[in-house]
Amino acid sequence: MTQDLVPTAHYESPSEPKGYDFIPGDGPHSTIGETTKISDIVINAGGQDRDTPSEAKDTALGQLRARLTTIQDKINIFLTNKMKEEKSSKELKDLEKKMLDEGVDEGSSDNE
Amino acid sequence: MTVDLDKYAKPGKSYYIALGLEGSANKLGVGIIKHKLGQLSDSNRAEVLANIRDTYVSPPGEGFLPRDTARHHRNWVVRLIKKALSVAGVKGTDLDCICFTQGPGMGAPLQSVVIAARTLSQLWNLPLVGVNHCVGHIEMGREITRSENPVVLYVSGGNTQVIAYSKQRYRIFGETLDIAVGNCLDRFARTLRIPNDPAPGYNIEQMAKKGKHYVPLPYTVKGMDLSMSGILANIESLAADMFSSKGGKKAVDEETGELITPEDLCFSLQETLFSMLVEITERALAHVQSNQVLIVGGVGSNERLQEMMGLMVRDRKNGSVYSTDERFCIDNGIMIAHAGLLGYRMGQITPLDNTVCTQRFRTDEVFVEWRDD
Repeated sequence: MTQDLVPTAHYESPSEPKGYDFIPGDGPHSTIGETTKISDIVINAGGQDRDTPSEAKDTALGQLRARLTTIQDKINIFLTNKMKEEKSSKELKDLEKKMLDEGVDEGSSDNE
Repeated sequence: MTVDLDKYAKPGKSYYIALGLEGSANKLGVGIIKHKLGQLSDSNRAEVLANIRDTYVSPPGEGFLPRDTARHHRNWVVRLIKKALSVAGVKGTDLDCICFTQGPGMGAPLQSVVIAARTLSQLWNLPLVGVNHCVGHIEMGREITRSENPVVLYVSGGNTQVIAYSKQRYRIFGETLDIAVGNCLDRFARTLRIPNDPAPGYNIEQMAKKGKHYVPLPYTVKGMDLSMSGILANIESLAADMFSSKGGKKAVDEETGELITPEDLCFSLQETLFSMLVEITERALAHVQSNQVLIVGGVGSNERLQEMMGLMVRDRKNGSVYSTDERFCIDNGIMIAHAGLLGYRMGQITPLDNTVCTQRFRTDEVFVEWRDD
């Protein structure tokens, strides 16, 4: 019996030294990833997707491809959420700074 | 003295074989080339063992987005490499090196293809050779046409340059100041919603053949350089008036009073842009006292451009125009294999940690060690 090839990934940053680990999990796994599909823009413009990946073969390497796609999805979702969080926290900070620097906007524009 | 191209030949082997991977824009190309030992010449020509290409085509009215183009390359590259090896009848271990486009081009597609190159290099234990895309076009054009020392007009979707060789560099004599000529044509194709299949420029060329009236457009040669974004803006506004449902002012031909058609616009755009290209190429010929022009790049497959260049060159003593067909003109893997192998034969290899791709990589940065004329 051949040993299953299981990829793993690890993320850490200065603010999160403990980091996060990613494993593919039990599956089922496939080479069609949730986050690696064609852009909606192309489909909405009447385009067709003729570039889908080939299906995973039932071999050790084929299964590795499928597991890699799962792990890639997990990383993509994790990083996208991180970017969203950073963006919203930056927006909050910007708002706070604006209020402290300029005072609360009372909505009046006819000061002159 | 001629350059010794065989200092790095493997003992006991009478030839080299290189695999080239191209993916700097919407074409994914895999080529396999063979050089026999010794100088390349009329009797010792490079041999194309395989030259496979697949193009990412976007729907009419849309350009190709980096993300989807990169996805196309990622999902096809293994299939294309397998096909190329099978067509060439060689195994990975028969190769001498893996050549890849290092730049210039679109970041995401370049990065997808270099990953394939790095993987193969480690799988088969072969050196990598990073290749400048423009130099790939020039060297393949020279090899196919056997032109010796031409002034090169490199015209494509991402590049517009007039280049001449001097002292082991391909020096840029003139270039676009804004958009490339192919980009100007492609974007106008999008405005007219002309299909992107097989190529927007090809479809414009076919429409232009039916054009009867020339519409004056800005003519923007700036010394040895060109500017094309203003021409595009001008012709797009003419097209917008043409398709306006409000019954705005539609352009008519000044002599006949007939309405201007989309075919007339395609014709006028081509005539204007190509006249500008011919003008700066002619000036470069005079500067370097050459009489050969080599046209490379995707727009180089346009027969009207070739014809106009031919008319100019005919008036020069012993003048000749060289061009290649779409297999070698439009982006392909074989040109990367060929230029990469020339570098490899001079000992130019790219260590793994230097294989990062770059969107900006000027033609004159490359040390053309394999020429010393």
